[in-house]
Amino acid sequence: MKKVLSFYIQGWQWAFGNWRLVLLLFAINYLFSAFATKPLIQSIQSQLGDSKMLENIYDGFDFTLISDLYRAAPDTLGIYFSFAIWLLPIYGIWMIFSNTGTAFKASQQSNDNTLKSFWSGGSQYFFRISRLTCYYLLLLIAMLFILAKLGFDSGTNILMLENEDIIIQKTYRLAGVTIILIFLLKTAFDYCKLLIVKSGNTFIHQHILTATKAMVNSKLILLALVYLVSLIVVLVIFYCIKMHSDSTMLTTIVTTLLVLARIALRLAKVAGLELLVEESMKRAKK
Amino acid sequence: MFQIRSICIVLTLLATLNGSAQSKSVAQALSNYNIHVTLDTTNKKLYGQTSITWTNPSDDSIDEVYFHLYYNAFKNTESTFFSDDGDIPDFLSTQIDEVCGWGWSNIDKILDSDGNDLTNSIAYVQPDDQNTEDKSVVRCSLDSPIAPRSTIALTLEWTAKIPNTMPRTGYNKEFYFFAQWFPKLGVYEPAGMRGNTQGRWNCHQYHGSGEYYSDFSNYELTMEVPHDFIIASSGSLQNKTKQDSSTVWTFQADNVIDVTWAASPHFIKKTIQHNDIELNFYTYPYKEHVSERYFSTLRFCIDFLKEHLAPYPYPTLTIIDPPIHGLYTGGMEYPTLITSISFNFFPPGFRTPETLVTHEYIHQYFMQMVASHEVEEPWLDEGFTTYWEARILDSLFNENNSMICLGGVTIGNKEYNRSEFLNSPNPKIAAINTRANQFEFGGYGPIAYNKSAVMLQTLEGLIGQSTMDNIWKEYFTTWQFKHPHSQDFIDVVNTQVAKHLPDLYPEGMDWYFEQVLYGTNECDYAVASVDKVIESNKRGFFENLENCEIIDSIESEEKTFEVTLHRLGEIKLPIDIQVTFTDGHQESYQWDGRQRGHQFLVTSDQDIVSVTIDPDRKIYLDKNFINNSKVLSPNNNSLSSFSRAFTANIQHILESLNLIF
Repeated sequence: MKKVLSFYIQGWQWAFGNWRLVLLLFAINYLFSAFATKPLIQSIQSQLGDSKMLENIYDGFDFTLISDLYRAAPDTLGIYFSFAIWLLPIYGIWMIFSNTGTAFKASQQSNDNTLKSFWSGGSQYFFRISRLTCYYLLLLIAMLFILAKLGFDSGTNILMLENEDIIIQKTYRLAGVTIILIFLLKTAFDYCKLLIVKSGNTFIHQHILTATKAMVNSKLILLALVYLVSLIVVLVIFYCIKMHSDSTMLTTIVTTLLVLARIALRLAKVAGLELLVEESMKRAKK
Repeated sequence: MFQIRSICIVLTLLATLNGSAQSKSVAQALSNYNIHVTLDTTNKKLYGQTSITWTNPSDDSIDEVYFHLYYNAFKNTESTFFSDDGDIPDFLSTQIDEVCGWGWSNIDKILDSDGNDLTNSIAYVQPDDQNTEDKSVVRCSLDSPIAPRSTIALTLEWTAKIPNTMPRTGYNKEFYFFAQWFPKLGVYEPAGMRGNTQGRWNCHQYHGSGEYYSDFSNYELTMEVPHDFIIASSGSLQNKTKQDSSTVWTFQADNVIDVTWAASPHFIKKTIQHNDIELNFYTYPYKEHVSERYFSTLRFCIDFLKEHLAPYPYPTLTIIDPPIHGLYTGGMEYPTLITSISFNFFPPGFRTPETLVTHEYIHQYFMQMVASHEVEEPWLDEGFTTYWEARILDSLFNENNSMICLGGVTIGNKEYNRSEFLNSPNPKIAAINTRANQFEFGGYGPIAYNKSAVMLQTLEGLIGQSTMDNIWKEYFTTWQFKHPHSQDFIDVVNTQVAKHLPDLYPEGMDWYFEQVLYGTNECDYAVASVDKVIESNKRGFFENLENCEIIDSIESEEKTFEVTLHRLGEIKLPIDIQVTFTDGHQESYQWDGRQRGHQFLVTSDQDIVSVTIDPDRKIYLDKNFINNSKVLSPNNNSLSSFSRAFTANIQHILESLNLIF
């Protein structure tokens, strides 16, 4: 545990040391978000225009306003979602690139606060990690499909149930199993990503096998703990957002800081994992 | 014969007196039912014997009687019940064929007070649709006619096969719910009642929507059930005795239009007393914790309606929250018994139990005590109930969160009604006064429930809450324990408006009901423009016919604005207009709303900030509140804040995707 915490703290140090990368990721994230928000805001402005109801839009959830807006401009949400869906694949490509670049930069273990290795690593390993991402997504979809089948195919007719506690327990169990499985799969995925960028091999299947093997040995617990700490931090962040949502300005500041913190957290997680991989590789050589 | 009739009349009088003693308002019960029923849980059957006395309320001589046999609606797929609504919902039908869950009801024997066997004179009739496959109404010809104002006694032996999970009734596992379960007389309407020009039996087939229309009766109900079963029933428990193989429960319910009961060995019961009313809550043990939500809501409802209409007159009120496998019986109203629905996975901010129990309790007033015809005029009970539901729940909670208050998402009951109506696939699909079984293309819920409530809300806005409350009180007092129809309500509205608002609406409110009760038009008013009038220079020939002149306009401290309003919908209603100026003061204007457009000038030394139509949202029927106002210099701060918050949320969503990728 001590080791895990030490790796994790070092990961955070690395993330802070690479603040340029954090800011770059934040800027891109903001640009995508602003781009996605613009058509909705334009549409609301054109519909509400000079109506007094525009003043209510930030006063909390106004069901009447949403309902009337939906009726007055039924296409608003449709247009927005079709735009957002079109934007998603582009963001997906950026995510693969940026995560690849980040993993590569972390694998270099250098403390230079430049973006050179990020760009070069992202470009060099983009297609390999894309392929890996495809496998991972297919596996994830298959896993979710099987879980949904197992969870809801047997006895979904509520009239056959003695009481709804059965549904509640089943949902909790299913949610728990799903989170753990996604959690393990994601850990293996990140592990594999690091192995690929560290070795430089074009043949990725060998690394998938190594990562899969790693999941059944003692590394699993350590990796899982690192990841678990990340998740807890994320949950705390969400709690913080909820606590600070009263004032507009405060919400804006807190939200910006939290997005930055989440990006830093992502970097710290990869860096911490990299230290773990490095150590296990050294142990394997010995 | 004379002796038996005399005994029957004495029994009727005694029963009526007994009813009067039990309830605070006196009703003229036309019939008495003494029902003895045995529940056969093995064969899923009911075996019943019913003694009925019925008094002819008319000056007509009547030679036939009509009975509802509601359970025959579940006999097969060809009944009118299923033809109306297509088919049984999938989630109900999955096990019907496996366990032969169809049901039926049959009168095995019927005798009159002279002992004449009338069994062979009964015939199935289909007064609504001539669907000969439908057996939900039966006519019985009498050997001797019932003289005006005299009483007849009939004895029936009947059997019913209990359906499995049919809408509102039936059994599933060990939960039994009996609604519309026994042979029940139709209503004989004398000439003059509900606009009839001559006396007639009113006995509709059982349709998918709309159940109620019955005489006020006194019921003595005796049920024989297995020892371990607990019964929840309409009325008050009189007696419970154990026999060798069963337990016999006896209930008495007086001056009610129906009785309903449920039985299960798993029921638990919680009882509280509020005012003089015993509130009995039945559910399964795993739902016991919901009881306080029901009790606290009901306490509020009882007090609210006591203040606004009249006290609840019956000694008991039974609430049943069925188990999940009895879901099909939830959310229903029966005299002195209501059913609700709750799920353990519903968070407290999801106010379904409170909403349902409020709605069904209001039905004790509109449906049970004011016994309008639910099939012919569903708006008179469902619309009224939905209107009162919003009033009560918006008072109990908050106007903006009386339906849902969950994680920042809030929905009020009143605004939900408006949205359900206006966002329905076609808000103009039918007029409010459409019969329940004539919503051929849908829209029963949005029109009969929601539009009716919004229409009443708008009426309240037009005439004020005080006059509206007077209307409700007079309507209830005049029509309790009677069978009113739409015109009776309109008459009360006109009387009260003439009394309290003679100057405002000298012609009464018929013009309103013609548009919104009998019509399907929409209501939409809009502020089209607000323009500053600039006095331009006068140019041309004036005094001097030889030379053109340019006369400068007179400089004035006062500014003039031209406000233009539009009526976009067909409905014409008088509306208020509010003009707000830069110094914060406001001025009010009125428009009768009849023309397609309206223009007026506003002069002030201040600039106008905004013009708002119907600032108090009295015209709740208005389909678009967005165009009801115009701000001259829109302040985009709110939109900017919204934009920032929305962008931040998208940022978090995008960052969250990295948890997966």
